[in-house]
Amino acid sequence: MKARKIYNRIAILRKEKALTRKDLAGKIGVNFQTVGYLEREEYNPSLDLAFRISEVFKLPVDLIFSTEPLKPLSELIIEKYKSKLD
Amino acid sequence: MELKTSKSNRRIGVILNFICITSIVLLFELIKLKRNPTLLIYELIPLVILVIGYIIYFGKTGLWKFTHKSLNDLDERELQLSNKSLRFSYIIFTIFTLGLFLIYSVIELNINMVLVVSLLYLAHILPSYFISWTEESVSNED
Repeated sequence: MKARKIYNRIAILRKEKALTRKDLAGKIGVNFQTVGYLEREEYNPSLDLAFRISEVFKLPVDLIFSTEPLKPLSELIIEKYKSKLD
Repeated sequence: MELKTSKSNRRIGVILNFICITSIVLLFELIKLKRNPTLLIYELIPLVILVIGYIIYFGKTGLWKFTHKSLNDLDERELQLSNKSLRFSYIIFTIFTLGLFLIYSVIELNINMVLVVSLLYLAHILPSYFISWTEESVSNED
């Protein structure tokens, strides 16, 4: 069975936290090359790994991973402000 | 396992390594046919290239170590990669070895120690070939 692509925000969240791939890999218990594959969306993480990543970034899983292309976080903030203003 | 060298460079390493093993076996058969043991000195050329290539492409990169690691020491993607590489190796090795034995029996050649040692080495290096050929280079930062 061919797995569908899972999109994620790992790269941007990692940079935001000023972590290297090795730092993040150490926190989630994988090799840093696995982090690279996750960031390039060439590998779909297991549910366990997805939860470990969400625990590191202290964000809900659905904000980091999605089955559809993710919008940039800035766009989400603008949308949120617009809806508040309306 | 840290694959810092480019994919194309690693692929050259795989091809070079395979050519060296093949050359060692073929040269040995040729020497046997010619019945001239002094020609055995030529076996040293591919052997030296093989050893140097092995150190550069499979030893220093940690590929050999990776393919011989305990499954408990691998993360989930590495486990998947290890499974894929072993599956590939099993298919290639069985077909290649049985095909080779068939050729040997057809042309009535005896199986010799050089061939067996080369096959033993090939069986162990094939998973590294697969990983070296397919894995992308990932740096720690960017």
